[in-house]
Amino acid sequence: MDTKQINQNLKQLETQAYNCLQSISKYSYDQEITEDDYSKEYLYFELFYAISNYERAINTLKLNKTLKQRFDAIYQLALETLQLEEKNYFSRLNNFGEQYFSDVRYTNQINLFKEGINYNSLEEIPDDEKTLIENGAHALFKIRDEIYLLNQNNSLFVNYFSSTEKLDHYKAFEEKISVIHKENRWFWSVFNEIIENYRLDLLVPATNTWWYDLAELSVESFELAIAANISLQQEKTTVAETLRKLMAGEFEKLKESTNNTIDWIIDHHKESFSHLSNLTQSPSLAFQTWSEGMDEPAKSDHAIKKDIFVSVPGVNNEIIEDLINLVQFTDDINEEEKKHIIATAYLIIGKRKEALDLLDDEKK
Amino acid sequence: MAKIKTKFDGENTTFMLFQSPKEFWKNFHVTKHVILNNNHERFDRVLNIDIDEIEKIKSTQIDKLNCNVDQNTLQKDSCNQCTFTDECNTILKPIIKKYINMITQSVREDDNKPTHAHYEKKKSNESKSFLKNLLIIDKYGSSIISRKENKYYKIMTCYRHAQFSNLSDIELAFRKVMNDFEWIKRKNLDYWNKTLNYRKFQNVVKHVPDNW
Repeated sequence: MDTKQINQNLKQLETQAYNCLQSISKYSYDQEITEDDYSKEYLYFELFYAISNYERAINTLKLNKTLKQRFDAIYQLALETLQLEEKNYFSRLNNFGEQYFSDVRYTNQINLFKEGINYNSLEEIPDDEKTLIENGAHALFKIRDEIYLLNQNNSLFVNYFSSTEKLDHYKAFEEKISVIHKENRWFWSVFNEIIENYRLDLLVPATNTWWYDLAELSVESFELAIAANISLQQEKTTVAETLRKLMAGEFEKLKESTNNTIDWIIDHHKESFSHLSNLTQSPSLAFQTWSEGMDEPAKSDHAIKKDIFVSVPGVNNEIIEDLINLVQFTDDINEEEKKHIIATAYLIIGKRKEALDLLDDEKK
Repeated sequence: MAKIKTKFDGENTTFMLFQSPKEFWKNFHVTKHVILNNNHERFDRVLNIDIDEIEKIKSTQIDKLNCNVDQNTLQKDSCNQCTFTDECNTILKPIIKKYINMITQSVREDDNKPTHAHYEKKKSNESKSFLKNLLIIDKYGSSIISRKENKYYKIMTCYRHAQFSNLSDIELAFRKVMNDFEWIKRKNLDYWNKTLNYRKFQNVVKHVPDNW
């Protein structure tokens, strides 16, 4: 990268921070913004990121002395802007931050992004679509970088709030996001060039390893990676369809939450999902495996006898009970979701009455 | 083919809007960017269109006109093969008018505060020659991309990014920023500043650098 380009990049990073500040100031005096609108809080997190990016670039280039005054001027303005906020302003920022950096959301966003890409036509993506995909990849990769910079001891966020607020949960978010990010390493590699350019724009140093941990994929390895992902989607669909067959009659309502239940199980108790998935992939059809009569399937989805699953061959009660224990003590989902997962688990091991009691309890 | 004659880079310049046969271009681009991709591009806010109207048109196109346009299809594989071109054009007419007016206005207004870039780009990875392109970013943050052909520019497409930081799935409102054209324009400029550095873009000249 030549000096002209470096100067241009630095200028852009500085401008981004000023743009955030300008918009925050504008929003601060905007009487039309309603209480439930978190646009300003979103801009604050953009500002935290922009300032950290600028500082990181300056450090990378070892221009701390030369650009100290320019950096200090922005930092000071940002501090003063924060000081103008009301006393409990952190709670609003935190409302946004907790949702924005949620690991569950991060996983969902990545999955949604993957599902939105038509891998069959990667060779011939129209230019306007390419830019949308690039934008999506940027935005997802950015979250990983944002949470890292946000947690740095010298970040504006930590500097300003650490003396009065508990920020440990942001560290926890970073740990979880980092794991998810790593799990999708092959996927970032697909966007190798985009991410590499993004890194150069931000002048990211070699110490931020995840920026460099990108192998360029061959078409063959890309197809393998995609196949693995599609296979998971197929397994999910098969398990979901099989579970829904358990939910006829009094359990009809449970059907609506089956996908969420499966997603939660995959994220938190892979053993149960693998077990269910193996059952559905046994030589005979899943539905036959889970029914009394091995030779012929039930005549309809509703034709399952009440106590049929007590004797389901192959279901390992211990694994499912372990899942139930885990759900009971988790606090990352609401009570209703918890009940639906447990009721589904009870159904799998034939504890129909317990499942019904739980759902009846919900109706009260 | 419509012509837009305007002052550009200090010279009288002609832009050609939509290629022949024109209905294909109009149907395709409005369907793709305004109807199907409204969640990301939010042209409903720029063109002042009711979301219900967009949904209604989408259903009609899919259910009655067998529309197969999606994010990844090309015009030649979708609208150019369609047997319902006229019917589709009829239901899209009011939106097409707004979309075309917006492009025309944006091209004409760029001279007030120039925010465009000239660049060269290969037509495909295999091509050896470079094509001359022009990108205009308008006040709504839309990207209008034209190709230089002889003495005029042929407008190829117009789209915008209005969903930058994955705010979807968050159960909070962001009405202000989502409607803030200035902010969206800024984010589109940031995106293009990044993108125009890619190797595939050559001889990039930004006008006026201070507006970028």
